[in-house]
Amino acid sequence: MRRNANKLFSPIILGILSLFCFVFNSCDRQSSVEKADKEDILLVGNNSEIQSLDPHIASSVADFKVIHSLFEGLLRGDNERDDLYHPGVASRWEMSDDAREWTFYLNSNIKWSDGKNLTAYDFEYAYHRLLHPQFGGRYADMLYVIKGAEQYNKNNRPYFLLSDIPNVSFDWATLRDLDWDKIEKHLDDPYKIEGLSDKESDLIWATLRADRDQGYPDLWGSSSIGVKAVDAHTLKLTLNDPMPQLPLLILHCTWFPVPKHVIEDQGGMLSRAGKWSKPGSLVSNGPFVLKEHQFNNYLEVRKNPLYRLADEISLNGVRFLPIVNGFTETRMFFDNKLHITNNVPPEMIGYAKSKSPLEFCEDDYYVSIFYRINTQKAPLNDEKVRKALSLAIDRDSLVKDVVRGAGTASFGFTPCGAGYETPHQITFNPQLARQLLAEAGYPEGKGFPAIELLTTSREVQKTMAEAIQGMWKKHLNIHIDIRSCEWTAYKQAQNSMNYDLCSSSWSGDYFDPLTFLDLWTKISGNNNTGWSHPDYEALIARAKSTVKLEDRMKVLAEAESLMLSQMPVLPLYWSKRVYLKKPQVRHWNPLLLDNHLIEKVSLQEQSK
Amino acid sequence: MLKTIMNRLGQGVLVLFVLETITFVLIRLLPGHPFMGEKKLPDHILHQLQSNYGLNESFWVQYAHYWQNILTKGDFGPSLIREGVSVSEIISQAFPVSLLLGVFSMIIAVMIGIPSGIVAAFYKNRWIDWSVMFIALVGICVPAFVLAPVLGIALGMNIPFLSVAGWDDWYCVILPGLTLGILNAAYLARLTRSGMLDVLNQDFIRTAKAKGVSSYRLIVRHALRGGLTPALSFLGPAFAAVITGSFVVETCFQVPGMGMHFVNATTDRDYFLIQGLVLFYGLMIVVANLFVDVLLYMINPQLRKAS
Amino acid sequence: MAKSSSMNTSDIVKGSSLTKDAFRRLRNNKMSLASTIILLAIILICFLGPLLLPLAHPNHQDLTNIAASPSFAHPFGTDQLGRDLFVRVLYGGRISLLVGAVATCVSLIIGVTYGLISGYVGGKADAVLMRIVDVLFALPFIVLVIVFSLSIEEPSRVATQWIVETFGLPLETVSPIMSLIPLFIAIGALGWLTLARIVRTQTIELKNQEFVEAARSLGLGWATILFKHIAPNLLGVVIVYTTLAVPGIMLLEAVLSFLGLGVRAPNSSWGTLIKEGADRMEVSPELLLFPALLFSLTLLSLNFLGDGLRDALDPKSSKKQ
Repeated sequence: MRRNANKLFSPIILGILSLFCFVFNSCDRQSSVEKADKEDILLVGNNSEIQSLDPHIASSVADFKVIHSLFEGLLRGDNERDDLYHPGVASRWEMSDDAREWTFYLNSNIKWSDGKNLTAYDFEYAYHRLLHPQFGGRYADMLYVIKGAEQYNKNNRPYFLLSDIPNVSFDWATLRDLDWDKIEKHLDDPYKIEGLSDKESDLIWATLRADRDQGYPDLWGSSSIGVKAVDAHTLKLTLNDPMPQLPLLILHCTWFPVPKHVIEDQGGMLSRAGKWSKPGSLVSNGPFVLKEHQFNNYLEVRKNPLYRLADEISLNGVRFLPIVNGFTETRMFFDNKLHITNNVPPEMIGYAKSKSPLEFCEDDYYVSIFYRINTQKAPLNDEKVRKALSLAIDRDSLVKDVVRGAGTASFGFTPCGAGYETPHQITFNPQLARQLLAEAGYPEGKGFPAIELLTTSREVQKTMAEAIQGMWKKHLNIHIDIRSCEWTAYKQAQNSMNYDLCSSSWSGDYFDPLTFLDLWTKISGNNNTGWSHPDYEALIARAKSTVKLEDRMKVLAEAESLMLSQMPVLPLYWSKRVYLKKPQVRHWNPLLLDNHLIEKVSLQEQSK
Repeated sequence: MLKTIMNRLGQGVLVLFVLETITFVLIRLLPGHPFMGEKKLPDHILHQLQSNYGLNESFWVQYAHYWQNILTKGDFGPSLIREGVSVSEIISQAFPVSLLLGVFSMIIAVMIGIPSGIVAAFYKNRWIDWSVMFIALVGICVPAFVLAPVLGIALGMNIPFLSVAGWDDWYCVILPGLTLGILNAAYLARLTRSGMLDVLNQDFIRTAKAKGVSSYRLIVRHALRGGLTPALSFLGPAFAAVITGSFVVETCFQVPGMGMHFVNATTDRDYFLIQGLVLFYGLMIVVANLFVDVLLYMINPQLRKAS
Repeated sequence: MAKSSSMNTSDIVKGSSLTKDAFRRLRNNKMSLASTIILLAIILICFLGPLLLPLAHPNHQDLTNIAASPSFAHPFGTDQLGRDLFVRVLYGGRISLLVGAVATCVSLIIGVTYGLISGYVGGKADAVLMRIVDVLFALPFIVLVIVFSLSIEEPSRVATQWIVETFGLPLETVSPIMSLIPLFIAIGALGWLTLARIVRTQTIELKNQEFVEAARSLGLGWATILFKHIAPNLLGVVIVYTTLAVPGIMLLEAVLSFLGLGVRAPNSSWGTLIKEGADRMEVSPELLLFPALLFSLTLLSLNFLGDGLRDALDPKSSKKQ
């Protein structure tokens, strides 16, 4: 009987045996990193799967990282400092005295990767496309600094039509911002526009009607738009406000050129489903070209032989791996599957640091972590309650014990850098916090209503919320419920202000404190706290029109002080980028904005 | 027989239609929209985006349009998150990966699970039964998100050719396949054991035993037919589920299969992608169940009698 | 084996009832007996432990004592926020056992009834019922759970508020229980599908056997036949399936917390504790070890108990050997 039963086992035993034979046969296999070292290919962890490589559709950080290696804008950033920039497609540039008019002179022998010449028209086409009202570019607002860009993007037709009417002498300024939707309804039923004569009023209506009858032609050609390709190698930009810091702004992907000839070929300017940004048809002008893309697996780019500095590129290519799970990524690094990881989760920091201190990197990052407060809802509409909550958070302990050193306790909202002195305004003082809470009507936390803290389901955020919940319980004797949501529901609740407290973060798009402070203006789409203050608006407007850098920073600091004195947000810490890097990777330097110039990176031969 | 199969296929089409309709409604009930992004979109851009994809139309227009595109053009729509990529492209890239992983893991599961279940049933309540079942149970009690990293660290880190995660060579299938295989093997072993016990207790087996039929013959010739029924019923849907991807295992081992798309498309509200995936998954389930039913029908005399 | 069979013979001579008989057989199965004791012990410790022992509060944090190794003060050590892991495992057990019990009961009741009816009635009704199961089966669970939990969020918030105000209970105690309700609904609504299918297949097999035909020829009503004659024969399969389903349900709860839909932080269940532990397994393995040990022990006991029950309840096993 037993012998018979053994027959059942035999396939299993055979299977196991063959597996073992196989193991011993293949022990000489090379690791992915060794293989890549030989081929000079860099393996980079890239956080998440990219959404699009079209610079005008892309919207996630992962997209931008790849696009940075594929395209090049007018200027190129620096590989060591965030506040430096170098010639890119443009070899030189001029700024008018009021810092509103900029002229870029393009290097005349820049080519697209298909061999066609890159001209200033490609830039104009790119900005036209991103701003086109029927295109729906997510990041169109990055270009709103250009004169007329916002009106064009929002399809404010009167703004352009009326300024182009010849031989009219009066000031149109008040009419330019007429609400287009309302006017459109009155085209066949015109009313007399206030403050104008009948004749002038009729002229306006006639102009608008003529526009409709022509089928609303594209208004890009209007003289009121501040983008102009003067000739094939000269691009002129006119801005709304003086902006000496424009070069830093245009390092962002949204300012990159796109190949007009290819896009026109593959569906035209407005087609979002165009195939031009896919492997095989993507034409770019940066140091690398797209080679292969497999969803959730990898995206590979190869050296672009037509790049203007192709001789200086040491790498043959880069592989971006979309690894969402930080634990998986860290383990893959230690198993020699990656050269550089994107992020080490706080839980693994101690382990990674002790396992290989030389590969462990901790760089400052232009990111602020904070809690938004819904200032419209009781009890958080009371400034005293908001301040009490802030004073009862021990940020040093948070950074040390919860985030495990992957951040710096914040004393203001905007991270330091770009010549900006963040005002010191946030402290830990439980005594004062209790006092303020009592003044607000909740002595010893008695009678404090039920409020919720909204977080995403990310582990770090949950742990942090629990720690802060514990601090508030301990110091203020109030209980805050934690609600963690999947991402889109979280985002929806935040955008519609359906929350009490909401964990948030903001990373700078460009190297200037304005990218953080612009958030809290009334018209900012990302404010979502219900807070606004006329003085704050005035200060931000003043900063925007101040040319001198030092003065500008002072005004911005004043604005931040004002904002922090009312606490529409609870700043927590400034995040650091914690990652792992193999020793053979050279010239990968700490950068606040994390825009590494991968073409400068090299893989050093390891001594055998 | 053929008539039954055709009949079931017809019902399957109906199931898929109802399924797709429910999904269509459900995902539109979820809060938020596909164009959430990291930053809030200005209203005019959001409207433009929605009208680009026909999402500002009324519900019925969208619904009719969706079916029209599928039936006339075979077009399952675009992905709303990965713009420029179609749903069919995504599925056709991810499915082969999941299929490979699924088949591999199912082979492991069947090779381990069914023999151990039979052996355990045969040596009921003896040490061999207990030890086999104990091992099988560990497979049930350990969650995938524990087993995956444990196997990854224990084997992937130490055996040179196995990798802790990633999908850049064919041998990357081994660890995720093993993880999924062990989990399913545990279920199979349990179900096989109980199914076999049921049969071994029946009169005809006792008669055969009394006649002096050898144990091996007894199991293979007589008991196996009925005894495998529960395991086979489990195998059908499990196979369909496994070849359409497992989110946890795929995330832990960085496998570019369908499971990741399922969860990501839901949390990102990628409407067309979810609809496409659900339709595909539904199709797999319908086919797998039909297949199992036919198989059971053929090996089990009682079921044949019943219908 | 030999011993138990001799007991059985004497029992039959005494003519004891089926249930009594089953209990005796169960008592004689050493594995099942041990499992029952372990299971009862775990349940008792989880539910009575915090009441009787002078333990710390499960959410009491001590940031100066993070991820400490097991010691006299903290038998299982402390977690990432310096909370006592032993206490958290006990409280987590309460939630996990509760989820397991309630959700399993719901799916058992629905699944068995549905499967029995579908299998027994047969024909067109069976086809329609099974197609409904097919549709539900093929729906992605995540979509359903998210829809459930989001649509129930507002009512549950109102209900929580009402309970807090009417009964004067602190929010800390009410909100974790309320946060479990969407979970019960979602799991209860879908957990029964496999069971329904298995029960149906078995019912079809059984309904053509001699004893059912005999009952039918005696003129018994369909309900009597279904629940008195067919259902007891299904007990084996159902119990095995249930003991398989409980771990599944308890694990599902953990996977859902992963999506932010499970039990609310700072409260925890075994599932969430295991998940947190799995994330930190390289750094502090005891965070994974202790909850996983208790969890596995519970499930193992449940399974062996299920096996024992299955053997004890099988009407045919009394005759054998």
